[in-house]
Amino acid sequence: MDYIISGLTMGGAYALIAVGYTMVYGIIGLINFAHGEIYMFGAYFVFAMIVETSKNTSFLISLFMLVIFGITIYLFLRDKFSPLPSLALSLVGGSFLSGFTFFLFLTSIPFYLAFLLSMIFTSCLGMAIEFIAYRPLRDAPRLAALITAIGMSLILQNVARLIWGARTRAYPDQLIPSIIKTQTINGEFLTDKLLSKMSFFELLLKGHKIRIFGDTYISSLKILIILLTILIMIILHLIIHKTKIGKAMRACAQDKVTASLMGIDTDRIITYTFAIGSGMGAVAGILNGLAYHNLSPTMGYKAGVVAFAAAVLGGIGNIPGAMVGGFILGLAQSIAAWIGLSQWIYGVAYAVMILFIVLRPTGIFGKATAR
Amino acid sequence: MKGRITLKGLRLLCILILGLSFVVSCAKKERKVIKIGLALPLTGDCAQFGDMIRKGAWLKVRQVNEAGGINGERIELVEEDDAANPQEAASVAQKMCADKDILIVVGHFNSSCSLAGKPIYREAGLVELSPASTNPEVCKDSPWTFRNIYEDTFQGKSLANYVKDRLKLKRIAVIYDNDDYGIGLKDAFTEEGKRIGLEIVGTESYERDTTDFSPQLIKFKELKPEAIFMSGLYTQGAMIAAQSRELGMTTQLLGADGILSSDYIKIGGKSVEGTILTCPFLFELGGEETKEFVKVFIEKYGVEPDCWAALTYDAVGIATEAIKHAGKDRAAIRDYLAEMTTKEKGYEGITGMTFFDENGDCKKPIHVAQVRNGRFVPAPLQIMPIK
Repeated sequence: MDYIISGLTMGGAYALIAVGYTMVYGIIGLINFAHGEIYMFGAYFVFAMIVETSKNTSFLISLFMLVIFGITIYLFLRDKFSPLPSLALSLVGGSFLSGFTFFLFLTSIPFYLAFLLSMIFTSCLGMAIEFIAYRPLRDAPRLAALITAIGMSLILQNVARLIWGARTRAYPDQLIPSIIKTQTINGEFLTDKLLSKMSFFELLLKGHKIRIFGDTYISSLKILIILLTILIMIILHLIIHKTKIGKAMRACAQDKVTASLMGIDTDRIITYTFAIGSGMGAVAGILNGLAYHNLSPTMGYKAGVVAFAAAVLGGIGNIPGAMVGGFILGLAQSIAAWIGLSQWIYGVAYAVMILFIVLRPTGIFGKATAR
Repeated sequence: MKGRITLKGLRLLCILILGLSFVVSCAKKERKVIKIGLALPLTGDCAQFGDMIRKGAWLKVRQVNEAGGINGERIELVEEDDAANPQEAASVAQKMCADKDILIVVGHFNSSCSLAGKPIYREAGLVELSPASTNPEVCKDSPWTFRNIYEDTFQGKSLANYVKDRLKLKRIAVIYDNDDYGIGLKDAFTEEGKRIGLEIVGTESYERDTTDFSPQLIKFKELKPEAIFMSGLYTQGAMIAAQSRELGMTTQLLGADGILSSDYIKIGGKSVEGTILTCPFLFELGGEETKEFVKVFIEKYGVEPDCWAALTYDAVGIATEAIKHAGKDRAAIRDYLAEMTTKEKGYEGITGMTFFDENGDCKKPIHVAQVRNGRFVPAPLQIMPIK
């Protein structure tokens, strides 16, 4: 039972990243390798905001944000004004915003606020990346765009290394709201003995855990990861199938040229896609940082590879597929550990993926497309 | 036409290269310096260790230079980053060997890096003096490798004895990093443990890039061990600690020198409290000179040194001593080190007396630390010598 919970948590985390991969692929047919780095930045932004960062580091991050905000503002203004005024405006707006973030990073702000802001920042990051790296290559051969994506991923990884250093970090315990992170009550660790004495409600209110049966518990953080994955899935589904933007997205996914002939601003739609996908990436990054006590510049790359496999497994371009793929890989890993192959958990996960791909080349939910 | 241009270009290139090499060789002859190589991880998983190693090495070099250098010649430290990666380490070793002015190399940090460099240093005839690699294989079969730290077999055995005799624990689970360091240490601990009657209830491994240890830990939870021995590095150790606490386990955590880093406490937070670990050296247990070193170090860098800084400080000290006596000759330096076989001929540093056995290994006392209130302090019970 513990294994299943652990598998579902892992799977949830993979699924959240995989959604980002699959959305972008669905619309522009590009594997956005920088998505893993967006996930990493999401986690790091929260870290920088909740702890008091030094002046130098804050300045570095703000400088980076100036570039990001500047590009994002320019991206929206350039349709309305001529290039020069919009460039000037975005410079002013970018400096203003990044000056504001400087103080955000310098001081310590509450976790939830940091969570929301981080989502906004990473959305801007996603849009900016799309604008500077992918848009100029929209009509170039696929391979060129793919290589650019890998390059972008490396650049972002090194920017993070430059800002925060190569060391692994973790969110400081005392700055995280206790409802999603309780290890101790009155300084005592929650041992099974202690837990078994508590009633259901006591457990929920003080320990933020739910007893499933015996001494198997599920903590609020794990519940949050699994629920959030499903919730985000539903929201995305609604956006894509019930709103105007969603309709436009689907149109772009089917045929960009025809969509633009029908009066859809395809560039704008692609920008939105990147914004939403990157926001999801940030959520995944933060939850991962919380669950595994691990923030490092390479975390995005490592998680990204598995998440990409999950996206392929589910049928790339298909959002429910990405989620199911994530859960399958997560479960495969923990089952592998359960039967005594803890050294081989990644191997087993990939073996499962390969098996599915061989049997069903388009993935679980993928449609066969003639291209 | 085309052919002629490339030929011309080639000729020009040849002349340029010749000219350059002439200039370089002239420049080298003019400068009167002694070069000591420092191979360390400045990026990657062990970057924090690397930073301390660098500080310790530079401190010694500055002190020697301020005191007039070696026979009037200044020491220059040549740093190369191996990124804690064996492939990188091999190319670093080649670079070091190619620079004929480098007389001795202090490094590498990671055992796998020292092992990767070993054949290259042996081939070129350059001494590799590691201040931190503890894998048993590091000094075997090469007259050119030395270290001023104990090796893992010794560390693992000592820990096993300590667990049984001092902590009086019996049922131990082992989780190890799947690399040279983790495996070597685990093997020594398990073998000695079985010999003296510890019960190794479970053994699990992980790869360095793992972030979710719950599958392994859930298994341990079912086995109910009295202690978990983490044979690996601080990042993963801290995550194992945090995740085991999350699973409701309060098992005693054991570790070795790989988790001796302030980042272990920073990442692990409250969950690493009480961890007991063996380490090469604790400042609290050192003498007057050690206190002086700590004072100078803090004045210079504004941070407290760790044991790697101290060991590197001593390793550079040994290197300068060897150069002073043997002169600027790689082979003579090796012979000098190889003759440091007894306490009398040894080097008295801040981390204790260093002398080598026939392999180039040294047997220094092991200290035991415990995490208390977010700091590494000497454990109340220290180690007994191996029976």
